[in-house]
Amino acid sequence: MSALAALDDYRVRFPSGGLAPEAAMLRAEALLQIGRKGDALAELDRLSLGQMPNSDERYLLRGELRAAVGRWREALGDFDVVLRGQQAEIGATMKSRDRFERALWGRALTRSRLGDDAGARADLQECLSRFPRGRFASEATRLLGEHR
Amino acid sequence: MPAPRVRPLVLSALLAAMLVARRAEAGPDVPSADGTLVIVSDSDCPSAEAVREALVDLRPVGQWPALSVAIRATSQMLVVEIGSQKTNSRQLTVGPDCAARATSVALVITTWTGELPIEAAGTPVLQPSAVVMQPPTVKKPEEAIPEADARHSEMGAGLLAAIAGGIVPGVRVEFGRMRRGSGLGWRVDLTVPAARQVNIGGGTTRWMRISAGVGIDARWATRRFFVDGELGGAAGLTFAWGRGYVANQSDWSPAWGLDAGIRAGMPWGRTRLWVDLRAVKWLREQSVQIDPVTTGTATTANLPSWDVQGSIGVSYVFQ
Repeated sequence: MSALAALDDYRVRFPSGGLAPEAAMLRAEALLQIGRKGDALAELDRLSLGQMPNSDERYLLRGELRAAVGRWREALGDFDVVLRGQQAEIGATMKSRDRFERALWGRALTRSRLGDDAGARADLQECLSRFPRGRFASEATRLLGEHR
Repeated sequence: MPAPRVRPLVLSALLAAMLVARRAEAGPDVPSADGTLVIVSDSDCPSAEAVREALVDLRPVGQWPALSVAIRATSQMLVVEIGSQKTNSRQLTVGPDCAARATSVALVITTWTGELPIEAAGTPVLQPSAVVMQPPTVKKPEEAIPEADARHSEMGAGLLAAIAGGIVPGVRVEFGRMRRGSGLGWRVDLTVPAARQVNIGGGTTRWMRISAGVGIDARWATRRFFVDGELGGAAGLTFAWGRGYVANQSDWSPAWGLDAGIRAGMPWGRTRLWVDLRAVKWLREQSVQIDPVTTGTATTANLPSWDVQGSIGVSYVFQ
């Protein structure tokens, strides 16, 4: 809790400091560590992720958090950003493959919740074809098989 | 009240301390397998080495990310590029303190390359596919196109040239009920050619034969082309009126005959473009007669018993 307290203190003392985005990001991570997902999401909501380095992973996390609380449209936007960014480097590294797979799954979820059944199916199919042994493969197979 | 002024070194040190504390609370990270971090700086303030030293305080060397970091420094600005993509950069406004700069860069690297937790995103909820839910149906050939739908109507109009007793223009309108594709149908039409003339008895007699026809139509059609043959009957009204005589009179007379035609055309969307050639044999002789004013014999001239017409036109197809 001391880290969180220190970060809160930093925000109070330097609300527009040069390292404010770093402080906000670290605060979001700290909040996630202690299970305060809503507060972590609020912190990420305030961040201009597009202007930060390595933002894809942050977009992905924010999309997952938004999806968890039913903010489907905003979550879809985050997953779209990740998938657009990852297209160029898909397969380049394990991390990028992992991000792509999670974003596909997340977009399938949000699309299905927004009523775009065809889009959700397309994402699940792509997830299966790109990652046939991935973490979501069995679930995607089950979903597509049950509702064929 | 003036805003508090804090030296950059203090800011960076504070955040760095917080980061170390947070890492300690979070427990040990998974060590990087090939943690090779390459830092390049175009300046001595901060130097790459200074950044590495600052980074040691924030994250153990074994957990450094395997990537390259480029630092470009100006008097008041640092640009930290993480990885190979230029878009992965962070700009910082900094002071002249080189240690503070090094700490700031180390903090940026640590913050934006750290591993993040994975949040379960839930499971998609798919709707049953409508295509599969519908029972398969096999249409019988006769059901595929109901009888009522196997025919359509055609409303058409065209310009014609009548080439008997002189060539004159005219118009033609028609309505038909045809079978889709090849087959039999029927058609009714009305043709109105312009007046023709005959010089007789010292004056000019003009005449015009308006006709209506009804016929059976046989069509042979492909997707791009069709040919019609038609046989039917025609009824007409012939009008005549004199000019240049001592006493100009007018008269009219009915006529009837047989009609045969052939047509070629092509479909174009819901329309049919066509050319048509037909002949009508009038079964009742018709003539114009000029009576003498006082005494003598009347002068007569027979009107053509054949009408030959060539047309071009267009029809609109509807149910």
